[in-house]
Amino acid sequence: MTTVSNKQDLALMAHLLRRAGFGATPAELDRAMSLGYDAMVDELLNPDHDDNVPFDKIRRWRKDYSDLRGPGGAPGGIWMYRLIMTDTPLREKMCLFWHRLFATGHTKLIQGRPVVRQIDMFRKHGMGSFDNILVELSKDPAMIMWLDNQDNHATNINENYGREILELFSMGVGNYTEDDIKETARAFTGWSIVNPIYNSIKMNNNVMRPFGYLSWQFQYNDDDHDHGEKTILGETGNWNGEDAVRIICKNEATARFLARHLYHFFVADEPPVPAWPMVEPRDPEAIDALVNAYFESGHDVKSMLETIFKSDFFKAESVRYARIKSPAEMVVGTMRLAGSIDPLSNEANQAVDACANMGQSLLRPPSVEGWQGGTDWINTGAYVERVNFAGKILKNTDKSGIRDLINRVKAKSTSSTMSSDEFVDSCLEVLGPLEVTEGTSRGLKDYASKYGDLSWSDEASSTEFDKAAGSILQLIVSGHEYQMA
Amino acid sequence: MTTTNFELNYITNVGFSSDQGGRSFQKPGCFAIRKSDGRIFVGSRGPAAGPNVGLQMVSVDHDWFGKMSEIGRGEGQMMEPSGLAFDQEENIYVADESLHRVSVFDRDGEFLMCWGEQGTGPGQFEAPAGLLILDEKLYVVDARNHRIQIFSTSGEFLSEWGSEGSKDGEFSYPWGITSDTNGDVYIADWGNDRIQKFTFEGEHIASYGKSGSGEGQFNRPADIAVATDGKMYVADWGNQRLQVLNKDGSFITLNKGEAVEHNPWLVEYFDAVQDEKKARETFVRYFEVDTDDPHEISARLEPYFWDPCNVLLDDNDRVYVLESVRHRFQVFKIN
Amino acid sequence: MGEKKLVAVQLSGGNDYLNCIIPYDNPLYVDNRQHVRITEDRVLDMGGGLGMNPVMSGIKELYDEGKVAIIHGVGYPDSSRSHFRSMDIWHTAEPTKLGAEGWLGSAINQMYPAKDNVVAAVNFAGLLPRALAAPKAPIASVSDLDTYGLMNHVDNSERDEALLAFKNIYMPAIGSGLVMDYLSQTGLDALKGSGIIQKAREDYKSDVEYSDDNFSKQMRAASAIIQADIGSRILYTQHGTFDSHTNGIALQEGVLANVSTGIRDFYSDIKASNKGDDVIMFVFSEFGRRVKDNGTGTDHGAGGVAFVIGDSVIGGQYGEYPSLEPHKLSIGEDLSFDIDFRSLYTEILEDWLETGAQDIVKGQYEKIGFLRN
Repeated sequence: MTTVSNKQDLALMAHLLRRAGFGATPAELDRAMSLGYDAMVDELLNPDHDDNVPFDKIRRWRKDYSDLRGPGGAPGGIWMYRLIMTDTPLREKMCLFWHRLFATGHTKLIQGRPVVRQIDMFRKHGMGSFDNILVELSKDPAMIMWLDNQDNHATNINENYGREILELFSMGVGNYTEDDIKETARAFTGWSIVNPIYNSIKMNNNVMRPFGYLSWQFQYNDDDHDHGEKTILGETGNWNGEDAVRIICKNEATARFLARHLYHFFVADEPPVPAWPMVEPRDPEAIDALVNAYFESGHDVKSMLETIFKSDFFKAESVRYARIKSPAEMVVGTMRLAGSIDPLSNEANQAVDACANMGQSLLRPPSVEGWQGGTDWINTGAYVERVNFAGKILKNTDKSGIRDLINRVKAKSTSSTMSSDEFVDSCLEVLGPLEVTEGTSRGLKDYASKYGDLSWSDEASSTEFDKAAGSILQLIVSGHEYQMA
Repeated sequence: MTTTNFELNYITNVGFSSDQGGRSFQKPGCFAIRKSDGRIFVGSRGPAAGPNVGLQMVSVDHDWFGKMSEIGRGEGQMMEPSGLAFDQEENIYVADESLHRVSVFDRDGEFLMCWGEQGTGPGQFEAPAGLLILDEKLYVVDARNHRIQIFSTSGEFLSEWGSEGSKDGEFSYPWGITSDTNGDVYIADWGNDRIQKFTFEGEHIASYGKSGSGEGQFNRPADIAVATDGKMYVADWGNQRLQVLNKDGSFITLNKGEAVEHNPWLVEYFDAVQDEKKARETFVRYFEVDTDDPHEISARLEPYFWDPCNVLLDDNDRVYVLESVRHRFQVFKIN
Repeated sequence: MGEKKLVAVQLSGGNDYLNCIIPYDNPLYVDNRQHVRITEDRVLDMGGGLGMNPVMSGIKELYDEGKVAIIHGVGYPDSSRSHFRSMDIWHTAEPTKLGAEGWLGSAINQMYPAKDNVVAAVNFAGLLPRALAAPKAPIASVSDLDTYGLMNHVDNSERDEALLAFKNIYMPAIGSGLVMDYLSQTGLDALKGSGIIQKAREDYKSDVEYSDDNFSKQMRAASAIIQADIGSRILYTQHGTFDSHTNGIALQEGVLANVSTGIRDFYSDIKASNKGDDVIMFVFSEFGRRVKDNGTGTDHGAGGVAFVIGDSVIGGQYGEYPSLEPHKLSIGEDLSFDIDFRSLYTEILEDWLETGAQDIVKGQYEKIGFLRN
């Protein structure tokens, strides 16, 4: 018997799994409910095993996944496979978070491999200390080449990385000076990759000749590091890159900037980032709570996430279904509902393309500023893609996940029969449960009324029922509620 | 058996990467040598758009003889050639792991016939891989069906053996196949990290190797060639190396690839692109890598094998190793 | 004259300028192209020592009729030899840093600030090109006109009912908050746009028999949209690859032949439906190729050639063919550019699409004058 409090708990758990993951299948939701909310948060925060990706088979039979040249297809596909198959969804969601914040793209790097390896780095370090993440980011070959740090020399600085680490990656505009940018750039002189000249020309000329691309490796050149005294954010010393990160990370502006990004990603849409210096956060107390968590934990990202998921501001009804799903959330969540995919099939690649058609080319962000998100995701072209993609996936009643949804709808009745209204309500329940407006409910029920009372007592009527269920599920996911997380 | 004087000396590399056809390979998956003239046929599987797909014909001396066949699903076309073999008349047999079939061409490249489709029944395939002609019969490694199928050279199904598993005579996604001078058959049992040796009728004789990265151990071995003296040359795909074993399976030596010099195709290429040639002068081929993942190490060090998928021996004591994602093969002399 | 429409034709992969418009009797051409050269006996002579590639007879016919503006030496400073970067630069009109918005997507946003033209731009080029990407710009992406439509996954027998239900679900949501209103309005607009495009497909009639290659399919679809006059202003097509590193002549001629034939057929088609004056085609590639060949092909270069084609175009040649003198080459190897591509954009935006160019190309660029007034 479903009690009121049980129903509320279920709605909250579904909210958690939508935000900290990609939504849940009914089976995942059952399991989460048996664990309880706080235990589920702890599990999400502490993934204790690697994903089981059959890289050997993938490399053997999907030859493009071996060198990960790109641009689309394979590099995005290998990540998409994980996103769809992972049982550690928060870890992958954090990869998406960092990919959006530290947006690095194939557009310039030309080969997909370094960007895929950058995502691997996010997977490994993305829930640790922010200092460590920034140091790893500064050593990341894709980031070095993306922002030209291989051209940042002791004798001739290139400010690009010095600027963006302050502006886009840690503090935000208005919290540092142009001098801080130059001094930070000086601290990162000599942070380069092996074979910078040859790899740069291969990148710039877009050539895999003669023998394919070479994977990049970080290299620190002490000879090319500016060993002079530098003053960064008021602190003077013979700083190297790690020192610059340390100085940046103890700054409150950094804590606030990161807190606001996390809030924007996990809780509710904030205005576009360039407006942040002018516009107060939607929930200043929530930001304060996250800033405290940052400092109390020694800049630990996981502690900030825990603060979010266990807070009242996250659990509040007012923020539920208040974020527009990014294309990645839309695509991954829908694919996960349908069940597992074959690593040797084209399904992951098709999901990557679907994502791109909705406006989010994974590993190919539009610029160093990433994707703004929110209503920017929505235009008519993208909308057709969203509706058609979700419908197409839900239509496939051969998929184990879809079969399970239909069986669960049937299980709502003990008599092998239900009215069309009950039928619609049951379909909504297994999909989330998805809460819809009165108008949507009416629209769905009007449509379903053509079925009259449904039954599945024999094979013929059962087949009819499955077909009807497929139709209703398709219609539900084409609705506006399904666009929201 | 003495191994003290055994040496493997690098001679040259042949290859070049292109997406547009012409003198190059792209994601090659198999190769074979035509005995009468030493011409080497290399099966390219990429790019998806196709101009390179087919069989490139070259020599160990860097001659380029053009390409045979083209991308497509029709008769005489191919998508992903994954195994090659010649019969007595030097007709060439091509396995296609994407189309799940075997095609046959005559010595001049004229299409003769093809058979097979996706499936698990006799004469059907799931990603056929290595091919072997032995005693006028065609052995096809049917990789994702975990079995060996045997046909007459005219495509008539004769018999099959093997099933999925890790016991003697069972397979896990087998790949390459060869035979020795006794007529025994060797199969790279990829997923089981071992080489299995059989009689021509499929009776298990021996297994060599186990999982690991040590000497005599394998990580997803892709192919094997056996010399007249019984030595085994194994493309240890996952470990990104060539291993040489004695007849009894004991380890002799290994090689990770040494393609340091510019082959003549590269020399011509760099002469045409001065900016890349100049940058190449600063290129450091070997450096200390900060990873222990063999696939990633090979991705960084150009001289190393990257996904060595096929190994061949010729009649002049040379070993050839084909690399899927460096689009070339390396040649060694056995001394 | 009806609403003006632009058909963008993207030649992906770097079209070899020297073998597209060929300076066949220039000794430096002969010297540099020892292996990858179109000889004088093969060119379609245009006079003045220039000839078109022999497969371009369709475009040559239109050129002889005065319908083709050939824009010589188009490019931008410090040309990138990377396909993706260079194409990105063309798409965003931003050569010095990574641009965020596509030039045509921004144009749509400027032309229809209320986003009330739901089919203002239609993409036939596969994945949405960055040129069309701008926040909230309403772009219909039609990979296959024959199957395009909202809820095209629903069986035909149930489709009308499903679309009606879609409408019934979305209508009542209007008025329930800013985000939900925007979402719902966009959903309804998508429904409307999809219906309009499907109707255009059903009404399309033509006597022109297009080839069955992918490019001609796109041009035929563009023609159907134009014939229906449903308010679509920008239609985007692409073909490739032109990336002729090896197998140079055969590769380029294969795809150039498709483009020339497709353009010729498209022109005849819109002419037959009396839309000739309303449409221009703008043909471009991300860069030209290296002056000197590499034995079997050519590598990435810089300056290229663009075409603007239609009844509203003043046919002829614009700008100078770039010099092949070694000291005049860009970084010693590539054709120099003389006309900044943003000049073309400026003229197209201001004089054809009749929208401001400055905010899009971020500066003032002199127009070329290929459009009739």
